[in-house]
Amino acid sequence: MSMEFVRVSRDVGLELETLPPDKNVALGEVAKNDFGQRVPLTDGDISLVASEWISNSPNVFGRYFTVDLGRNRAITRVRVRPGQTALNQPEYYVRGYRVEAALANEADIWRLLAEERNNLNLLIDTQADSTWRVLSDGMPISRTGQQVRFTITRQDRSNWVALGDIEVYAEGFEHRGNAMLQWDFDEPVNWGRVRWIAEEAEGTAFRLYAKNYDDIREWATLYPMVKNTLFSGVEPSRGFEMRGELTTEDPFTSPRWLQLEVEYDLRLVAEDAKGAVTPVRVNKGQETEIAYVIHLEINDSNYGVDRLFLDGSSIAVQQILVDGVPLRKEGDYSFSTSDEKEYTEIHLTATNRIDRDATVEVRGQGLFLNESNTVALRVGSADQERADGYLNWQNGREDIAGSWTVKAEGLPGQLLSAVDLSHRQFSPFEDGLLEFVFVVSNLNNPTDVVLSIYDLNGNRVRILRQNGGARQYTLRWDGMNEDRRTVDPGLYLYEIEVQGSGEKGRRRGTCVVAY
Amino acid sequence: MWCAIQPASAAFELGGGGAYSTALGGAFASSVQSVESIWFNPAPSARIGTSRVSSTHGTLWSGLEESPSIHSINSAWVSKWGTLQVGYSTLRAQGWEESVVLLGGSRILTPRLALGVQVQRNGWEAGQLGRNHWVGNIGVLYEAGWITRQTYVRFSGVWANIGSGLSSAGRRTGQRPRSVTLGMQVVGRGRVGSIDCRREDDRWEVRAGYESELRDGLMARLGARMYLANTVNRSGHVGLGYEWRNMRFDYAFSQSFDLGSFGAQHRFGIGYVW
Repeated sequence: MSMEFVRVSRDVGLELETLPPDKNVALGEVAKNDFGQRVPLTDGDISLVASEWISNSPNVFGRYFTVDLGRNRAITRVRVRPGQTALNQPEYYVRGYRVEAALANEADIWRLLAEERNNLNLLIDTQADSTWRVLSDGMPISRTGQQVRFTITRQDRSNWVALGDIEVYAEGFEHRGNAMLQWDFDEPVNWGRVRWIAEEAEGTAFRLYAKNYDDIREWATLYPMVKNTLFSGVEPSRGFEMRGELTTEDPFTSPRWLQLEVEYDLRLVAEDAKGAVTPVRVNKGQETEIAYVIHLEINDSNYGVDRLFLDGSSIAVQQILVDGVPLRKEGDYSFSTSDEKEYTEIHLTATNRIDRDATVEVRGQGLFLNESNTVALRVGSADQERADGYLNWQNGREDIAGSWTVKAEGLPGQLLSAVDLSHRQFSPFEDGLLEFVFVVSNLNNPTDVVLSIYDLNGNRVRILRQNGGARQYTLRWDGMNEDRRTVDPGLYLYEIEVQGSGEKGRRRGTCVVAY
Repeated sequence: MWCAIQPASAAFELGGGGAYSTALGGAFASSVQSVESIWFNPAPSARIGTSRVSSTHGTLWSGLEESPSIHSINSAWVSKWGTLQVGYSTLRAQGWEESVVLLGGSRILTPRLALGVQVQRNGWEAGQLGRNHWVGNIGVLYEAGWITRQTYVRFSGVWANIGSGLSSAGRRTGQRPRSVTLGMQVVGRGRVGSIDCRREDDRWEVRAGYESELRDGLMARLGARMYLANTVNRSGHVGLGYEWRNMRFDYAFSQSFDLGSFGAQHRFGIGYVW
C-alpha cells in the first residue's frame, strides 16, 4: 500500500494526514489585488519584476491583496515576504498592515487575524505582531478562513512598496489524500462485489476507484465505485489497483476509511470474452440493424456462458447465432431491456449454455443518440449465480481497440425531442399511468432528467426523475401528488428538464386529468 | 412543507374576468367601472349606471406549443328594478374545456348599500367525460363616501360558491371551495386603487391594482396577486384601456413569477355601453 497525505489512525483505519507546521497552504493558490487582477504573490518566488508586486507609486494606503486558499483553513500564521526590490532597497517596506480572513460561506465578513500599526521589519510575520500574541500552550490560536486579505494601512513617507510572497500556514488536516492498494493473483480472477466501511462526517467524503494494472487511464478520469457493485474494468485479470481518496472541506475533520472487502471468483465464467459491434457508423436517431459479435474462449474449468449483457445500448434482439447456427426465438433465449438504462440482457436456456469455444452473433435493431456510443460486453453464468448467491458478471474486452464504439452522425442535433403522452385525457383509476415518452440526444454524461407537474395555481404537484444519458425515456405518473393522494380532475402543466442544460433542454406542455 | 399540503386546483382557477380586471390583478370586488365586476362580486353592477356588454379573448402561457385559450362574455342590463347580469366564460385546451355560466341580479337597498345575488354553473368536459355543479354567490357593496375632498372610498364583501362541498371529492363534479372576499376601492382624481383579500381553502390571497388616466380616455393599469401563506403563483399584471365614444378597448399582460417559464398571458377585451 502506498499513501499520500494519509496516515494510519489508531490502528483502526486511515485518515488524512495533519498539515505540517511549515507547509505554506497559499503556495500555488490564486492571489488578486484590489482591482481583481492576478498578482504573483503565491508563486513561492520573490524575484525582481516577474514574481514581486511593486507599487510604482507611494500612494499605497488602503491597497489590499486577497489570497483564495481554495477551502477553509485553520490559519495559524501569515507571512508576507518582501520583494527582491525591497531587499535591495529596504525603504520599500510596509509600515502598517492588517490581515483578515473570510470563511467560504461568508465571503463578505472579514475577521481580523493580525494588525500592526508600527511595523519596522521587511519580513512581516504575523506571529510576531501584537494580534497573534493570543497563544494557547505557547502556540497561536487558529482562525478559520478561505480568503486571506492583506491590507497596507500605513506607509513611510514617499517610498514605494515591493511585496514578494504571501505565505499562509495552518493546522488541521490536509484537504485531500489517497491510499493505493494493489493485488496480485497467481491466476486470473473474476472480481466480485466490493464493499467498504468509511466514516464520512459532514463536509468530508471518501471515494474508491479501481482499475486493472494494464489500464492506462488516469485516476481522475474514472468514476468512483458504488458500494456492493461489481468492478467495471476488463476481466479476468491477475492484478488490480484500488485508490481510496479522502477529502475534507473542514480543516478539523477527516473522513476515515475503516475497512475494505473484495469478493473474487477463481473459477471464471470464460477464459476470455471479446466483443465487437458493427456497423461502427450509423445515422443518429434512426433505428439501425446492428450485429454484436462475441468470441468466447471457454474450457472445462469455466462455468460456461448463458448470460450476455450488452451495456450501453437497448437492442431489440431479432436473432442469435452460435457458430453460425441460429437459436430459436421461442424457447432458446429471451432478452430484456430497460426504460431507465441503456442495456440489453440476454438469457440462454440451460440447454443452450455455451461451454466450449464459440462465436456468438447477436443481431437486432439499435438506436444511437450520442455522437460516440460504447456498447460494452459482459458474460455471466446461472451456475455461478446459484453457487455464489449473486450474478458476478465477467467483463469482456474489445476485440480490437475501438470495436465497442459506434459513431452516430447527422440529425437529430437537438437535446430533447418532442414529448408524447400516452393519454390526452388521463384517468388514474382507469388508465393507471400517464406515460411521458421522449428522447434525449447528444448527452455524453449521465444527467438527471426531471418531470415536474404543476396545477394552475403554480403548485408543484409531483416531481419524477430518472438519471441517464442519451436514450429514450419513459416517465410514468400515477396521477398522485407528493402526499400520495389522487389529484383533482383538471388541466395540469408539465415541464421536462435535462438538468444543467439550460433552455434547450426543456419541454413544456399540458396534460388533462379526468375521471 | 406548505406546497405538499396545498390542495391541487387545476380547474376553474383562471375562468371569468376579462382584460380590464386582469390588468388590475383581479382586485375587482369593489369596482363599478366595468361590467367585468360580475365575476368578482354580484353587487357592484347595481351602481354601474348604464347597460353594458363586453367580451374578452386571451391566450394563456404563450410559451407552450398549444397554449390554452380563454374567452368570456359579460353583460349587465340596468332597469328600474335593479341590474340583471349574465356571464359566460370558457377555458379551452387540447382535450379539456371548462365553462362557467353566471346569472344574477343586484339592487341598491339604501343610498350606501347595494346587494347582489348570483347562481353559477361550473362545468368541465374532457373527451366523453363531463361534470357540472351549481353554486350561489352573494355580495354587498358599501359606499363609504368622500373621506377627503378628492378621495372616495367603497368597501365590498363577497361570499362565493355557496352550496359547494369542501372535500376533494366535491371538486370532481366541478365545485370550487367556498370563499370569502373583502375588498376596498379608493378613487381619486383620475386614479383608482383597489385591494381584495380572498380566503379560500384556509389560505388568504391578496390582489391589488392601480389605474391611472394618462390622457382623455386612455388608462394605464398595474396589478399583482399572491397567496399569503406561501409564495406560489405570484403574478404581475400591466394593461391599457381606451374609451372611444360608446366603445371600450382593454388589453392585459400577465406574467407569473412561479410559472414564468411557461410564458406570459395576453387578454384582449372589447365592450359597448348604452
